[in-house]
Amino acid sequence: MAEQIPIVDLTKELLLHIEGEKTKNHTIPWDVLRNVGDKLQSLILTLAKYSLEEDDVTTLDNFTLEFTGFYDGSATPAFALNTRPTPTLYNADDKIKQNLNADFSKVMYLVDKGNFQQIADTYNTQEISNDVITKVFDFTNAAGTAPVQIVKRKTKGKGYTKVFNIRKLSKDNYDTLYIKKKEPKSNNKTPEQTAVGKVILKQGKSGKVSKKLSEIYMENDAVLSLKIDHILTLKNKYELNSPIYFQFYQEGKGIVIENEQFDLFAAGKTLEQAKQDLNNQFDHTYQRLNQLKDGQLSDRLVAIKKSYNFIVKKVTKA
Amino acid sequence: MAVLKATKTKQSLKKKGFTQDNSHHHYFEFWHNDKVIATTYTSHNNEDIDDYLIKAMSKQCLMDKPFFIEFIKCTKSQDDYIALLKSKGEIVDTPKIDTPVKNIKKKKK
Repeated sequence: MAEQIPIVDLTKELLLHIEGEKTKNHTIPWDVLRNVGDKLQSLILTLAKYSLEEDDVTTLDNFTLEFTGFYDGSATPAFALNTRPTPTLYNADDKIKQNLNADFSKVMYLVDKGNFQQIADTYNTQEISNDVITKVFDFTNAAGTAPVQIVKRKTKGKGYTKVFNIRKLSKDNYDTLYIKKKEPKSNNKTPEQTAVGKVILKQGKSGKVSKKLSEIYMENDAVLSLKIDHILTLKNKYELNSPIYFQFYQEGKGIVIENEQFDLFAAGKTLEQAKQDLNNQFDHTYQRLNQLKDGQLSDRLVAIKKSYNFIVKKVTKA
Repeated sequence: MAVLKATKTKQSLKKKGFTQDNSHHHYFEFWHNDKVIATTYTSHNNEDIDDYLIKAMSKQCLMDKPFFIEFIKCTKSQDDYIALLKSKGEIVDTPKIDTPVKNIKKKKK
């Protein structure tokens, strides 16, 4: 059965017990306290940033630390999250703080076990993994050679008990865990690729519309298409036996709509203009191909004429 | 980004063998050996032919964009175009079969 990780509630109190020669008189040199506080806050802000979910609305200022005092008569400074946070929409901070408590506790648990590799492996991008592991390195070494523990007050009586031992991440180990950016090789460039995707538009309570990419297909597999189920011009209206799908794409400052099967390549500054051009071309091509005998058309145009006559169900005057 | 003048484009098309439809002045056909091979549409309002219109017209003419631009700027000829259409199998020349002429001379005895 997996060991249960004790959760440190950052909103209440985080006690750091700093031992060593410098604190034997139950005082802490200012530069040590300041450095430990800075590095701890930096780690917590980094974890808070990556704890956010896509829809969370907050400000990271709400996750700064406050120094709340010392455990009586010892070199054990106490910290807590900002006690006067800026109010945010939907009161998302409570949930974010819960996530942050869990993430911070898990990282400290792994620090205690010396399992720094697992901390690095928790994050799926090189950038985030490097960011977190750097903050962990800074924090675990913030008190120099002095041993540091996260402790909590005993529920009954005086004193405190250890929660996590802050094991130091060595420079060698840090260098191993930090993933160095690979220099792009000039002769090994990935060619620029395009893709098409499906975007879900969601309107929030505030009326703000958010876009979320739900599906993505590389252009080799899929293209943007336009479904046309009738053709309408000033002269004629065409009813079709089935819809025709046209590929469309941006070309320079305009749009091109095309379907090779119908020899249609329409263009316009806007999609609407291109569609209008498409309707006119469809009308003219259909009429012209049927005006000419097959013997007057190339093999390709004979096949295209067949496609038109197959797809057009009925033509009426508009 | 290439831009072509509409008037120049129409002139070039006609010069290189495209014929203009009498009833639809913006519609051009390329005939070869009494067959229509390709058709294209120019803009209705004589405005400059921008990138996207060049793309559409070049596809209608069965050319790629650089070829179309050269075709309109007259660095490619009608012969170049026919050669291109042949290479794409759009124009198939039926080989001429000459009737063999017998040229038998009587041997003198």
